[in-house]
Amino acid sequence: MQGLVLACLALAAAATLLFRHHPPPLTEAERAPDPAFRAAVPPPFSAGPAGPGDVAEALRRVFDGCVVGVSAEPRSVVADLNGDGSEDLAVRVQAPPTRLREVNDDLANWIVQDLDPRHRSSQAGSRQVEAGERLLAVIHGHSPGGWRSPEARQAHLLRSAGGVELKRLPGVKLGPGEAVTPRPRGDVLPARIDGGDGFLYWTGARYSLGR
Amino acid sequence: MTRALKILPAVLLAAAAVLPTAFTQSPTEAPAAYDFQTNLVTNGLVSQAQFDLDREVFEEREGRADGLGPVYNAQSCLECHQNPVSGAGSQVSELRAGHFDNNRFRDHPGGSLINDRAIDPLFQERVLSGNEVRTFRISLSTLGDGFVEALDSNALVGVANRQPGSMRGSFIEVPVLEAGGLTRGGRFGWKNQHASLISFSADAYLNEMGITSPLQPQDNTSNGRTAIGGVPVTDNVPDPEDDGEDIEIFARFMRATGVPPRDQGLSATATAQQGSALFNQVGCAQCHVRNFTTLPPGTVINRGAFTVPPALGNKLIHPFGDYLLHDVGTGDGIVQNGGPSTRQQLRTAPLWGLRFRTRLMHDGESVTAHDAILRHAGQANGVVNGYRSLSTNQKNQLLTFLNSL
Repeated sequence: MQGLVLACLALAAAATLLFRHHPPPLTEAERAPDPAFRAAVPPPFSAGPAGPGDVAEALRRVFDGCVVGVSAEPRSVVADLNGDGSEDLAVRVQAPPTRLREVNDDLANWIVQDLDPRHRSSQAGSRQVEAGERLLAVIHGHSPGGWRSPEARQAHLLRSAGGVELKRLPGVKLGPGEAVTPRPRGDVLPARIDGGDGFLYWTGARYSLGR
Repeated sequence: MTRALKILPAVLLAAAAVLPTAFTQSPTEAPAAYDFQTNLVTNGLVSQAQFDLDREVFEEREGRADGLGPVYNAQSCLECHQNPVSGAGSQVSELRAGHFDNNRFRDHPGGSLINDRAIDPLFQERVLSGNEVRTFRISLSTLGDGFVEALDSNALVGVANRQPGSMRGSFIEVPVLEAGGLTRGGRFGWKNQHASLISFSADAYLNEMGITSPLQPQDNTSNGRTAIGGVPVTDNVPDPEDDGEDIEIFARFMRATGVPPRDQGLSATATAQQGSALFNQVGCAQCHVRNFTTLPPGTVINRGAFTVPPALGNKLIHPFGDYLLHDVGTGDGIVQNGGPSTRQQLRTAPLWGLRFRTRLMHDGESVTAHDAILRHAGQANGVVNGYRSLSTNQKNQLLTFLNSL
């Protein structure tokens, strides 16, 4: 009997020693992040021409027929508007009347925005596209294929963009002491604003008109 | 005696079976920051009475006699950290500016933070011409940040290394002020500019309220000017204006808060649970990481300046963030502690407590979760395309899940 007790005691001691909790380390062993990782460098930007077939395909991919070019060969421009090193596309479009509800859906895959701040207080709401209204669609590119990439699906539908010229201007350069609107992230498009010269630019959050 | 000897082996065998599990510590859930009546409750780091006293200091309104200014943004921590309880976030934003010369970012004269208020009209800061990089930054919640401080830096590195190459976050090391500037993995602030709550408190006390302390002993200038028209830019209170005690109390208060609790009713619905599954399926959880476990109690962190207490150690938290910097196409153009490569990178927003936010993303420019999701591009492009591919019903499920956080 005593032998059995001793054996049990030995077993209990062994189990306790074997499974006992190891004390936590006293200090963090900080180590540097994976040195293999470096931020991806965007490829050099080169604006290529936008063929009508490419444009129509991009509109189909992004808007699924909810907007179409305003003509068989819709006017468009390629530029790096958001300054990420990838080509973006701006093109004039309109929504077929049968697709207006989808265009204006709260959960649509694009952001509708009115460039005219005076419209923000209108009863109709500045985000509601109307029948027959001409819009400027902007599709942000995704490197390296730019707006042609199947992965490029971030898009904006801009209202009150009739004064925007579809012509790429390199980002506005600032001289010392020059006071302008917040820095455009990339290229800009010239625009007429209330009869004066201005430009359309990306703020980092939305499109805006600046002078 | 004989009977006792007979049962002894059974007792010992049972003990042998139980003892190992008794010593094996599974992480336990971190406690919630507040109860059903929205009363802040301590996480156990300090007593409730001490916690309430610390909260009063956190809520205290500073005046000119305390050293407020010469430039500042708020008179109390509470002004920016209030909704729905002290320590949480708010819609209040701060303004930052600087200049990018197409090669490197240069701070605005006096620093990238442009203070909105001054104790003297002469001292008022404004964005000077030539500083075209301008951005707002919305106030963050500090609830549960004691647990975040108690995360192993290596856990953050591990998350980065598990992320796909195109989505991999940047881990940066930043100075721990109370450890003489030795560095540790950054985790606090939109730029991960701080690694410890003491450092964060000293920074905020100076830059948001203009109160100096031993860790931040010099008052700010006005746009880099120490005198204007012969008038010194000063609050006329000798520095340091806080002897360090307030900093310690702010940090202790934040360390003693629980985590933002979920909306129990909504999160229990089938819709939210389906949305939760979609959150993973689409890939949101790659960066909005659900689970972390804090370091064991007794671990020394902050380069020797703090030891993880039992109330914060070995706790499971669900911040829905990775505490890493990413470029999701919304970058603010500002460089702080992370170096030039982080100019367009921002910390993944932890989504816990999201339902109390009306203005989303770092600048508060998105006012719905849907719009905020659509604003993601860059490293998040593939994930957001996954969201775009969801049906309206599925999007609603995912958004319901977000509203439960």
